[in-house]
Amino acid sequence: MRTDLGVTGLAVMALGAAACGGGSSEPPPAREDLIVQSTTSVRDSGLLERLIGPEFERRHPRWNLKFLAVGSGEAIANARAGQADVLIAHSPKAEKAFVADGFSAERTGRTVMWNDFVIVGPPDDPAGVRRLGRHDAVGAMRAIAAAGAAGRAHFVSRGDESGTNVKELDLWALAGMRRTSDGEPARGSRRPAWYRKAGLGMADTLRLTEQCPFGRDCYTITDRGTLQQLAGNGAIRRLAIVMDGQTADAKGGAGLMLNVYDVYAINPAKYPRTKIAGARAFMQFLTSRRFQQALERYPSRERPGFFPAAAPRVRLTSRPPASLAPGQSVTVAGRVESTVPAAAAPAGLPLALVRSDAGTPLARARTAAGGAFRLTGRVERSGELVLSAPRFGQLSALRVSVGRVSVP
Amino acid sequence: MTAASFLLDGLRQAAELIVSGDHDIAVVVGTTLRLAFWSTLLALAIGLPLGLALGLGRFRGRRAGLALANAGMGLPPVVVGLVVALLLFRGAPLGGLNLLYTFNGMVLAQTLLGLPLVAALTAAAVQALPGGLFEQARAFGASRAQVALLALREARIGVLAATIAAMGSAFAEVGAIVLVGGNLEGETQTLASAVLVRVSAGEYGRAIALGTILLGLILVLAAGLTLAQQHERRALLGRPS
Repeated sequence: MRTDLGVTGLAVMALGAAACGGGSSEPPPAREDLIVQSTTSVRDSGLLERLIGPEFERRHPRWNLKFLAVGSGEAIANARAGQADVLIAHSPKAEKAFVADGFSAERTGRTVMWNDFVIVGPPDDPAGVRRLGRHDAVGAMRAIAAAGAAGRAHFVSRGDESGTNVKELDLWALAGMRRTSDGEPARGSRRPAWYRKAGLGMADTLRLTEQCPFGRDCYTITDRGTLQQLAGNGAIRRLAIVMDGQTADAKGGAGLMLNVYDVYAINPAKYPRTKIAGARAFMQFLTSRRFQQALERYPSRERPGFFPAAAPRVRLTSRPPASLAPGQSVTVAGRVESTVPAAAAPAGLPLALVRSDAGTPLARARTAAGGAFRLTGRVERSGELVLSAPRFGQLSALRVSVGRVSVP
Repeated sequence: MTAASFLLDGLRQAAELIVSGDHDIAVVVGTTLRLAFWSTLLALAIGLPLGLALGLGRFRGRRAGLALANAGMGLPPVVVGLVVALLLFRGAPLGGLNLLYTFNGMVLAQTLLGLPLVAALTAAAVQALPGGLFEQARAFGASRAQVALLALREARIGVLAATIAAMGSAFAEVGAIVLVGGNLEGETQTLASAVLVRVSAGEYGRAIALGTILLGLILVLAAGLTLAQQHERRALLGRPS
């Protein structure tokens, strides 16, 4: 009897032996899990694999990164439910509510990077978007809706409350369309036939749009990072950008189509089990100069998928002279601005002018409205002058050289 | 690239990955095999006694239990994954177990999916046995445990089929284990869920390569179990009853 039953047992044991030989490696027990809920584009664009995962764990061996790539809507819902230490999202309204409801450990998130939303469609553009709204997202959506009503176009929506889907619904609202209670275009009390909801991630939605099972005339909205990743590896070949580069005079303004990625630490006051030290280390990593510089070259310097946005940028109108008489004062003036186009410049940002080798500042001042500043101080010794600012709202700390001065 | 060239490229990549013994792939294959092993073992450990009881027992609610087990074979994995994940959230009833986004959490979810397969198929197999067999055994004074073992022995072909079904489901599963395991590279990513990620990133060639390896594994293990099963069948047919 034992030998007969043994066959099933043997089969299962063979499977077990195969399993044990499969090369699994247990992580060392001392490491703690750090759960990051993130929007999918960070993984699908390759950023996680190439620039984030291995490098973060090498620098912070204590943390075992658990990076979950889900839609922004799901990421925020999971973070609200306490199932995260860190949240990466690009859904400004939902993020604002997230902070207002006390889920963020800090009063604001930290901006990491940005890219932009573009509208894509068939190269021959049957809806005439290029003509009616080449740099005007709201005009482009109106053109698609009009062509849809005339039976010449379809719009494919993510329909998943992701950051991209939320942006799309904003555009329909701005276009003054008749909408359902969900904010989708309406015809009577129902969705019009030209409006299709995919319920898929960005990459799958783009493929569906290219394939266009409803005809040959599908349009959708996408972030540039995912589009470039898919175009780069040949998964998308036919879709063309019909609208991008939103102009300042277009409805909604220049900032309308920007896609800004922010990172948050979950508030330990809400969920005591949050690994706040790890969350801070991860935020520090994403906003570090090293990671931000790596972003500029990914996947290539010519066609980056994202643009760094952690630290503000400084434009100088007045630089220190190369050489000075001892005790002579120098003036450094200019403007501090966010690297995100059309974002408000930081007003009230405390700036300091320091020599790179000495701690005490030569001058301090706060930026005025529009980010303008003027710092005047005396230089006693030769050295490199550095402009620095602490972390300020969503902007990370700034440290930038303004030039060397020599004092005889 | 055309669709055909993605397929060819995928097959070429699969061959390269297998020949070179790629470390990352080895880890994913290891996770896949460990998940299939532990979830099948647990499903058998609970499902065999349950299936015997449902198939042979005489107690109230047996038919309802049988109906539940049969319905369970059609459990939607996504729903199982969602419910298990929600129960494992921090602050949820089972949050203290720290199983969410872990390998053990995936084993839990997959066991729940495999369990009804084993129980229902085992119950069906023992019910198909001639009733006189057990009456005879009881008449000879066999205990309940002995009758159960006799039933398992006689129904072993069906039991092997149940094992193959549970194992196959573990290899193929994506929906439930992604929700519970998080699809973490190097930890909870299986071959099937790795295919999902590669498709999302538009790397079709790599996706086909992973899928080819997965199909190969399923084929080898199912073939092994089938050989064992058919060997049993021949032994049974050869024996005078």
